[in-house]
Amino acid sequence: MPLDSVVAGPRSLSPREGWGWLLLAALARAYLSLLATLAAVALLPMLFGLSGSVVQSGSMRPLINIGDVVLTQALPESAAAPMGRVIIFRAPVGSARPGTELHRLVAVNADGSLVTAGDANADPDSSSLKRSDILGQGRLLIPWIGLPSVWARTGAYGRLALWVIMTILAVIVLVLGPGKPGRASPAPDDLSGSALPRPGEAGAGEAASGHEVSTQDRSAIRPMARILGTLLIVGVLSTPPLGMTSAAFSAGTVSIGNSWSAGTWPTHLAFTTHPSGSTGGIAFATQPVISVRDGAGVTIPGSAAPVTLSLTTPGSAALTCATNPVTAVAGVARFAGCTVDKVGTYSLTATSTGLAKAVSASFTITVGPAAKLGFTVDPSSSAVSTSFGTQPRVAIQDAGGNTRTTSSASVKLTITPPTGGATLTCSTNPRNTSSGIATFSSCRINRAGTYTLTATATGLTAAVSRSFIVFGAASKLAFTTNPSGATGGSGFVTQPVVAVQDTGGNTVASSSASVTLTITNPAGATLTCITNPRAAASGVATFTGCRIDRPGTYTLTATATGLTSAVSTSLTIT
Amino acid sequence: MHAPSHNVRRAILFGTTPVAVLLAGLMVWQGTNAAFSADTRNIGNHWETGSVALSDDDTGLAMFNVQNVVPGQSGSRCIVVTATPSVPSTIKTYVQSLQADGLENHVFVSMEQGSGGSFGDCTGFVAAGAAAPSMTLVTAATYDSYANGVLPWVVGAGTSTKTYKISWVFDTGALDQAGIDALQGKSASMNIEWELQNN
Repeated sequence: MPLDSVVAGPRSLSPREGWGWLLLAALARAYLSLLATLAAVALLPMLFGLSGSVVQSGSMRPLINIGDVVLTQALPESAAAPMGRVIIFRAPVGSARPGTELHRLVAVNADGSLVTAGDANADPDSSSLKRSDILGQGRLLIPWIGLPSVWARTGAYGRLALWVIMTILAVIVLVLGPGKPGRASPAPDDLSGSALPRPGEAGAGEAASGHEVSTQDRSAIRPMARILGTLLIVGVLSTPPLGMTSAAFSAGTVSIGNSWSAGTWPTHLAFTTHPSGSTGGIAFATQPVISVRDGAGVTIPGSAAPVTLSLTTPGSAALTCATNPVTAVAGVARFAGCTVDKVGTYSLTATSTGLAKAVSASFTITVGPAAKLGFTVDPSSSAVSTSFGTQPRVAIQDAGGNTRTTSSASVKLTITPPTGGATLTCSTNPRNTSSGIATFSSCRINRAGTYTLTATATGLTAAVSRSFIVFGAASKLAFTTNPSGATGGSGFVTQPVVAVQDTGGNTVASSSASVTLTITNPAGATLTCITNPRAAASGVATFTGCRIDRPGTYTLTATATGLTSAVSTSLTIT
Repeated sequence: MHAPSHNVRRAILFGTTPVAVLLAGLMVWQGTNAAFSADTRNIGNHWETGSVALSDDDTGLAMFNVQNVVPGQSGSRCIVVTATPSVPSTIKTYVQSLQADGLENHVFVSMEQGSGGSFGDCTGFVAAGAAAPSMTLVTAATYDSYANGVLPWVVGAGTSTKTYKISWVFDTGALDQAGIDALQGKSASMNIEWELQNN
């Protein structure tokens, strides 16, 4: 224990003659030599083109620590990137620590960029480098020597002060020397033989030599202070000009492989089964099937879209299905019972809201077997026992109403309803068809009334004509439309219509009697119409523009020569 | 104990300086050799664990793996990021590895930061601070490095956590029907990265 030695040494010895002082002096010497050597090694190579940097952070631990000085050599542009080696490079723009960074070159990306990593970082650095970002490759690592400057930079003044005091103490111990009284100190020899290049130490050695220690204490202080200053300058201030480099800590975490893939949704309809041709009014043998499809043409199993079918170019034809629209089931709409009545060539169009429509292949509807009768010309009104102005024609038709021209069935006309002994007489009844059509002539009915005719033929569905009137001799007038809704001086909203009728109330279509309208009880009021009297057309006189000039409640009377007059319902003029 | 003899004294003092100089040389040689001659960084598998660390609670799963997206569909998820740096640091978020297979201009993402919630469930998430507005994946992918990362989060030494809520929507607003239909079967993917760097 050196200290014990100092305290407990023989009384004849001065404190500096004992083992303790000797060891202390040796330690001081060793420390200062070490410090000076490291500083020299850090600084001298810079004369030969190497650059030095003080490492400021610890991501290259354990090999490179905070406070180490790294000497780097610039790489020629042509030199390959030194894989696996420690390089110094410009910190990427935007990095948390701008300046230079010291990391290891660990990989090359496919695009040629370089990947670096701190030895102490689990992950490689996030930013890759270009070859030109590399400032140099690490060549020499001098441990610890930059620590004082790191302390000075980071504000670790306690440690800095401790180090300065330690160094000063070591210098003092060195200056005081280990010498025995009356003996020349070996210090000058030692120092001159050391690697220290500083002249101050040699001077110190000279100053120390050949003196009593007691006097040496004082006389050596001043030159020794120069050494101290030199050492401090070398130790503390030599490193900042080297520049600082970061070995930055970084870490990352990642949510990897977030993906979105678009599904499918209905875009269009498509006929998966096209309708086959058929005959008029008969369901297609093959009924259309339409599927709801996505953009790739795949049926959407979940679709329940309503699909509507129609004839693409209907003309006079009509499409009839059991159900239309049909709701798709699992993306497929199956139609049933679809027919087209009239002959022709058609296609079907399938539509559904929001989806592109589909058009089927074309198909042909032909005339089918005889199925029914149909009036192609209806009988018209006529006087009693007078041939109808228009004589009826009845066609043999297929189910769709297309005339079956090859048929020669016999068609019979009867009165419906067979009221009160009325009789239908035609020149020929039943009548054979020619090219599928039975053309009747001279048909007439012997009693007034409103009738329809029914055409029948064996094995075919009967047909019923439109209704028509058989009328007797003109006998009376009747308001078939009463006037209403008027204000004084304005035309009636509903204008009166007067019919010429027989005694049974049937309109006498052949009449053109002149009908006159008057106010039944004028009381000073005047009726004005655009035409009054007005001639009946087909037995009907239709008045226009009629008005009464005074407020009051009136009825109108219609008169015609030889006919019984008629009185309207009452009419209030406001 | 006797005082050291003159010879002993001389030997010790004479020897000290060369030994120190030799030691310094050895230190430089050894340190240089170890640091600059080794070819791999993972020497002895010595990671400076705990120096800085950033982790999340996704257990390696993607936040979003959404199949069969249809126009107008949207969703959101949360992720809790935990930082344990030994020195003050800043964490930023950015996007990498965009795989643009047709949906990249029609999937919009936005990000909020706050607390609460977890990877599986956003329940309890409370937004705090700035948010990244909704943008297409293409735009998001321009934030592709720490330098231009978004929502910087400054943490001190110790453990800090933050929840990020990321929302997406498949928006085909500007497209006509044919354009929308052309997106069927398309996809896009990306990585969302959080990086910590010490200040």
